[in-house]
Amino acid sequence: MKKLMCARAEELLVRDLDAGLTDTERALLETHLTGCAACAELRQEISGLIAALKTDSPADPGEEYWHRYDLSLEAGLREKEINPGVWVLRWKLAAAALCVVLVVLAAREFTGRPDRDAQTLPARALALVEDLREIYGPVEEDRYLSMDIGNDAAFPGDFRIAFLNDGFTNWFEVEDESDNLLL
Amino acid sequence: MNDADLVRDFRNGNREAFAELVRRYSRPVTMTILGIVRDNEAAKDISQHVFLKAFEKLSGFMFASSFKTWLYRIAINSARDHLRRRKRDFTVELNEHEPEPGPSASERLEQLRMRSLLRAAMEELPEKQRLTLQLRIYDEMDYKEIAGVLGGTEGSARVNFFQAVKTLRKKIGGIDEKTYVRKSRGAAGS
Ligand SMILES: [Zn+2]
Repeated sequence: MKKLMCARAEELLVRDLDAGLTDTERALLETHLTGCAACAELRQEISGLIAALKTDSPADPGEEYWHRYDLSLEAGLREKEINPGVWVLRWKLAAAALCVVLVVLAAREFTGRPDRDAQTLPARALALVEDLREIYGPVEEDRYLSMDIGNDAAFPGDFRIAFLNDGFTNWFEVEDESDNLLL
Repeated sequence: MNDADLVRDFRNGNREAFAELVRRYSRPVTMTILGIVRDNEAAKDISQHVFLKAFEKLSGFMFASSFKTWLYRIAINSARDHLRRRKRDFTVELNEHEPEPGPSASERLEQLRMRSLLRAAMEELPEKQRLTLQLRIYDEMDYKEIAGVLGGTEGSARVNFFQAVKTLRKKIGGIDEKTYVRKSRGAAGS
C-alpha cells in the first residue's frame, strides 16, 4: 500500500512542477510527504533537477549576433522576393546569346579563314592531329613528339625513354604522351 | 493584431506583416534551435532557413494549427535534420551562461560538471522525451503546445516529460535545489 502511495506521490510531484494540482491531490501529496522521508527527498531532488536544467538553458548570444541575424535574414528574404519570372527571362536571354555565339563560331570554322595558322590552334587539337598521324601514317616531322621526349628525359623510367631506346612505339604510348605533354 | 491576421495580411500581399511575424518569433525560435543544437552559428543558419521556408510556404498554410505551432514544427524538424548530419557536441564551455551570481570557483566547477553530466544524460534520452523536456523547460511551452509541435496528445507530452525527469533523476541522482550541484549522498552515474 505504501509503495502504491509512493508511486502516486511521485506522479503528483512531477505534475506539481508545472500544471499544478487540485486541492484534493495537494492534500493527498502533503499528507504522504510528512510521513514518507523518501518521497520528501524525492521532491527536493526533482526540484533540484528542474532548477539545474533551467540553468542550462542556452545563453542569449548577444546583440551583435541578432544584428547579423537580422541583416542576413533580410537579405535572404529580399532574394526570395525577386519575381521568379525575372530569372526565367534572364536565363532565356542568356541561352539566346549563347546560341548566337555558337552559330558565329561554327560559321567561322566552316568558311576556312585564309590567315588561319596551325600554331594558333588549341594545343589539344594539335594532339589529336598527332594521334591521327600515328594511326594512319609514319611519323614525319615529329616536332612535338621529339620536343616532348627531350623535355621529359630527365624523368628516369619514363616509357618515352624506352621508346627512344628501342625505336618502338604504339598507339597507347602516343596517346599517353600527348596527355602528359599537354596537361 | 494576432498571428492569424498577420498571416492573412501577408497572403494579401503585405510584406510588412511577415516582417512583424519575424520580429515576434525570430529570437524565440532561434533560442529553441540553439537549445537543441548548442551551436550559435548553426542555430542562426537553421533559424533563417526556417523563416525563408515559412516565407515560401505560407501561401499554402491551411490554419490546421496555429502559425506558432507550424513554425516551431519546421524549426524542430530542421534542427533534427542538422543533428542527424552532425553529432552534437554537448561539452559545456566555461564562458556559457552563469547559473548563479558569484559562486566560488569550486562550486562553479562543480556546476559545470553537473551540466555536462546533465547534457550527456539528456543525450541518451529517447528523442521525443528529450525534445519535450527542452520545450517544457527552456521554452516554457505548455503540454498542448508541445503536442502540437512534436505530434501526439497533451497526455502523451505529459508522460514524456514525466519519463524524462524520472530517467534523468535515476542517472544523475539528487541535485541540490539551491547550488545546482549533485548531492554527495546517493550520487549516480558519474
Ligand atoms: Zn513515499
